Amino acid sequence: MNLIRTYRRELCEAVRDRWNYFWFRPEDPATLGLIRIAAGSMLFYTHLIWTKDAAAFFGADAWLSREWASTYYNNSPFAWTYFWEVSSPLVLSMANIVALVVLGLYTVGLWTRATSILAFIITVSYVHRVPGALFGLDQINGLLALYLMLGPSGAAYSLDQLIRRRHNQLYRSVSPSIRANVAIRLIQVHMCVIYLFAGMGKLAGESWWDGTALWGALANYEYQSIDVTWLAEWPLTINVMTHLTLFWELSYCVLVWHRLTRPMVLVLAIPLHLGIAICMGMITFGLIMLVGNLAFVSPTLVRAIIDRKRSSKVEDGTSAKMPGRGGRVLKAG
Amino acid sequence: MSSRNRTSRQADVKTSDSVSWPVPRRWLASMLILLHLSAVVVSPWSTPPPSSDLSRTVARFFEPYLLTAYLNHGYRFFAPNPGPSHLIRYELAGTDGEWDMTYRVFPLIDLHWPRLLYHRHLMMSETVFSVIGFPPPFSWSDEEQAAPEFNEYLAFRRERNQRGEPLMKSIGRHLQKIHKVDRVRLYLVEHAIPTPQELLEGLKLTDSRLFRENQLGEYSSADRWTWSEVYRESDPHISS
Repeated sequence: MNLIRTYRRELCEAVRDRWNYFWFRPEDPATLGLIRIAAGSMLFYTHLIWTKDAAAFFGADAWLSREWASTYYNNSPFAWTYFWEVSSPLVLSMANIVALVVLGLYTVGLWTRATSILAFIITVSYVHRVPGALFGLDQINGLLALYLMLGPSGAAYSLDQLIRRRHNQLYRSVSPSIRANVAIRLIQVHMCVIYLFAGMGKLAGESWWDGTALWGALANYEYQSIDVTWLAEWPLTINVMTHLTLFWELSYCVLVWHRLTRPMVLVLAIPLHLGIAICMGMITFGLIMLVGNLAFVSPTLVRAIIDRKRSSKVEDGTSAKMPGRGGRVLKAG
Repeated sequence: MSSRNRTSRQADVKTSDSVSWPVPRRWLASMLILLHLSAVVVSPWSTPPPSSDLSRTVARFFEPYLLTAYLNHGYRFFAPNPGPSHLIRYELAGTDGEWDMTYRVFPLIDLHWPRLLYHRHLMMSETVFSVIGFPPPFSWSDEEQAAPEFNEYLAFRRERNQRGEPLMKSIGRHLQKIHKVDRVRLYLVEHAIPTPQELLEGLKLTDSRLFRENQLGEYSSADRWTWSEVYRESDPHISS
């Protein structure tokens, strides 16, 4: 009995300590700031394209009527969008312009506390209005907007930070933040869930077992942006790519947490997602998945790359200095 | 600037967020994180097909949150198999009743640019397929019509038509307005993927043998949608 009690106590303590260490330690918001710039740019571009054909998607005679969009969500009040209230073309144009301005400000990090909330509202409002025209890009856009809103996404690499510095010459460092850590952790865990279910869904398809699935994706004429059907002469290469993709997706949620396997997992993400971007014409989707993967890049590495110029000034004692944890270049689990 | 002011300004930079959170705050945050992550997992877990009764029951609890935060996704990219793509072909008729047989289709890479806009249109045609689909490519014999499967098929067709009609009306109305015509006929086109062997034997990706299409129905300016014969609940696949 004593043994069981000891085991239970040790287990509880270990879980509590690991949980607190994982979620509630302060972290440098550099990675979050970088993700804000990348995700904000993608949100801006996404909405710029919506705006290009706004009347066709959001107008009175849109491709997908309000009636259908509402039916799609079983008339649920939780599928909220401010486009239910927008009917006149003038208001629609203004709503689009305001959205672009807000997303532009959000990307450069001005008034980020407010613009990050507005960016999330804008993102969800657009997608809830056009449920039949969406794909993976919108899903990742949505989750990144959500987590960037929760964390201090304007604390690094933002105009907000620049202004704070200008107003206060003594402002030399950005404080590590628990909220920044929570936001990054949520993105990391969410990416793991995405890849795990993407992989498990594929296990139900025979083409992922017989190694031909990649052919089905690459030889799809409507998706194709670069013709790689010459791979028909290389069936084993197609097999290798198919099995590697599936194995990578299924193992991501395990291997990405270990510091030795993490670099391999993240490096493999690049050809996988760039392949989707370049060969299958889904540039936006390929890129936004890579943005999600950025959550596993440590702030130390982000600063080593982005602050290279500044770090040379550190030696003079004049540069911004980050008092966070150093050492490991890829964010640890 | 006095040294006192300097100290207070420097102190401003450090916030409560940069030190450890008090226990009640950590408890509250932990509860919220657990609830949120449960919702994040439940959504793809309950996404059909297939999904268990348990997962769907749990998903109903989280549905308001998943919808509100736009987290209701299955993440089944290219699963279970990368399949054929689907397009919508359409024909137009003016008030004189004459059908213009020009080949019109969406998505169209030359028209829908940049690529993201093209992809939006591709997703709409895929949505039409996922909502309406193709009827079975065979006729039901008299014997089969007496079987329970036939009634199941009729119920399935009825449900799909009910869900699909607002979508068909919506697309028909949009095309009718932008082309300023009286009637619009919509066709669902499927573009199959050839095998590597077929391609090596000389088949092109755009070969007509890789396409099949069904007329979905007709939209008229009176905001009326009429299903084509194959999509009616009593269709030609039902032998008489």
